[in-house]
Amino acid sequence: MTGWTDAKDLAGRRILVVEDEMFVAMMIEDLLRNLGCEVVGPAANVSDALKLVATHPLDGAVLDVNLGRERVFPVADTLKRDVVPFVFVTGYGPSALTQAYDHHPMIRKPFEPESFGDDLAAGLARAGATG
Amino acid sequence: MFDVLNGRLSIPARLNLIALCFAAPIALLLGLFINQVWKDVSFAQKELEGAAYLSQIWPKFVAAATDPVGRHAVIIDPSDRGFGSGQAARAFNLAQGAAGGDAGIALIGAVADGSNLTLDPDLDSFYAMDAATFALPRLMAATVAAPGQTGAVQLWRAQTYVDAAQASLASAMRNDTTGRARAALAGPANALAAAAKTFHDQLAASSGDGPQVPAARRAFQRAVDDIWRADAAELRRLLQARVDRLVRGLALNLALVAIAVVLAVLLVVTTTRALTGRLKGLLATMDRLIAQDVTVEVPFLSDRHESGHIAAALVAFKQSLIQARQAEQVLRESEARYRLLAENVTDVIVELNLRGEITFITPASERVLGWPPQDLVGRRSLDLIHPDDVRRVEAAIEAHVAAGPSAPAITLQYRTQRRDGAEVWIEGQPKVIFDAAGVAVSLLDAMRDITERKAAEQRQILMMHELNHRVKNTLATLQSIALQTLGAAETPAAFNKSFNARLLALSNSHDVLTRNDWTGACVREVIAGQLRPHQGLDGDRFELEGPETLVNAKAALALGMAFGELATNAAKFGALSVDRGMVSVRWERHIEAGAARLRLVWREQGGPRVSPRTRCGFGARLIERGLPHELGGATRLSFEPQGLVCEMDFPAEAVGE
Repeated sequence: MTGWTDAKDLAGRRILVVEDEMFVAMMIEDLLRNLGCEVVGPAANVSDALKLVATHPLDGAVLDVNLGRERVFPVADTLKRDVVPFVFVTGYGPSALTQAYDHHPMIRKPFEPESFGDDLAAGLARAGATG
Repeated sequence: MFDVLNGRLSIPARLNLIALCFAAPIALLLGLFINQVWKDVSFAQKELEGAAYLSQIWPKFVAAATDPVGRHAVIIDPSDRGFGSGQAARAFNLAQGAAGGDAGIALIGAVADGSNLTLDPDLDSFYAMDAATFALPRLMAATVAAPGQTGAVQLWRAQTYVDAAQASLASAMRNDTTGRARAALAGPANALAAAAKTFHDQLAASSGDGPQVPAARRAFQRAVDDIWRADAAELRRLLQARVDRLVRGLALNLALVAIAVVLAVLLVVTTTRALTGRLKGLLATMDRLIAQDVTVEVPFLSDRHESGHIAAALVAFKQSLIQARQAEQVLRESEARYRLLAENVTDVIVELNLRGEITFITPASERVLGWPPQDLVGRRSLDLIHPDDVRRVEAAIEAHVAAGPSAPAITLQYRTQRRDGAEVWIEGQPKVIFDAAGVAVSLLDAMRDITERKAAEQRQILMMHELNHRVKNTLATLQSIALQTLGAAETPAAFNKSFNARLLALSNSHDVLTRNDWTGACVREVIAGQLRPHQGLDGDRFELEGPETLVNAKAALALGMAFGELATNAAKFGALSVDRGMVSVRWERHIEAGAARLRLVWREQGGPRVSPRTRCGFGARLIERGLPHELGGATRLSFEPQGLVCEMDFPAEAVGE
């Protein structure tokens, strides 16, 4: 899944969304749909997300770090294992990440809707290159 | 040896020893002196006795010497033969006649020798003795002519002894400065000279046998006898005077010695008593001062010499004692004050030695650390500190010690474990105590329990994070709502209206949550908060019914937005758009498959006839997809002819507190 350079490359891709905040999930869903993606989810917790990962072929994923009382890292670990590129989304900044994902691509909340697609494509490209 | 004596003996004993050392030779000399004087007295006494004895035998001698034919036997009583004269006395008794004179002279000489008279040391008595024991006896014997002796020879003999006697008597008189010898002897001496001349003249005139000769001889013999008696008396007087003088001299000297001894003894006794009295008084004062008795009055202060100096020194000592006691009192009070402070202050004050062991700790340790002071003294303070903080604290204190006395104060924060295992945050302000030479001797630390403060700081950090999270979420939510509202709005005015309504719905839910400290909210309050903007039309158009049910903040926000959308929709298109329309909201808790759930139903009545929806708006999407996403469970919107019905069913676990 490498070679993504901008938002246009996202069209037709199957992107998993894991986000517990209802409105943010809806917005990401809208943004991805507008970019021509096929949205898988959104999932609000780890167990739902893992079910989706297991049952859907995926081209990429957008993961919110904090899911209520849970952290998204088990999902990230599974995606890494399956070589599915993903980016984190968080309002906290890099400090929210564990050591293992210290330099993993991340999109800060709130988003810049116009550049979200480019940011996501670049993030997924970098994640695919390093992951 | 003298050092040993000085060390062992008291001063009075030493004074007595000195007195004894002087008294012994003085007594010895005194004994020698008395002995010598007594010998002189005995010597003279013996002479005196000899002279007296001579006076006894003199008449017998005269009788024997003047009777050449021995008509009268003269016997010396054997019991009177003193002075070693026994032999001479027996010879005298046997010799009669012409030999009687010579035997008598020998006897007198023997008595004179035996009674020391011939050894007489004094010139005055010597000449009297010489006359009495030598010249006059021979003169007496010479008054009688020996058988066959011519008158010329007799005269010559008599004249020789007269001259010898006169010379001795003259010397005796000359040597007596008192004049008494002259008074006693001058008369008889002149009479002797006269009688000798008469005898000489008669004898010369008659060639030895004239009629006047016997009378002249008898007169001459009487004159010799007189002078002998006078001379013997003078001799006894001189000897007696010598004895008296010697005895008087001895008595005088003894009296002088006695006076001197008495004076010396008095001096020693008074000096010793004065000295020992002062020593005793000063020693007693010293003893009381040593026993810390400062009420004692120091005696002998007015003495000008050693005792006065000692007394002055004792006064100085007493003053310093009083000052020391006052200083001690001040120190004691100050210490009591600090002790009171240390024991009652809530901070733990601890003192460590250079090995880091606790040497002193205040009772507050029990409250802060759980251990009473006696359980902590002797332990290493670093052992009490959390392992993660030990190295940091140790390094800071070592640096502080190394920085020396002028280093600025430091404050350390570290964790310790209470006796019950709980973690305690301590703020310490260690202070190194240096001695005068600048060497660190101990460390004082005031330890304060700042666990509460640390917890508050931690809570504050968490709250800041929570606030940040909430604000970020709220902003993301608003962004999402804005984007979605924008996508559906046909005109900017429509967007404005819709967006404001949704903003208001969100704000109302925030209000409800804020009233409950964001811990959750009652379902009734959440719904009422969303209906309130529409309630102004008519309060009877809503019917809220359900048990008192609490939901968490997340559910409150989601439900608030959902009911806000429903109310807005009802006001635009549904039951609230006409006067007689009604809305009822019912909720209940129920059990399904063993799990508690919350079920809510929004039902509109009396509104315009509902036609099935043509497109999916924000509200529908929120309710049909957003809520299940957020809270789990299921929702359903039914566009029934009587009015819109919204059914929601959530796991209690997801919405409950």
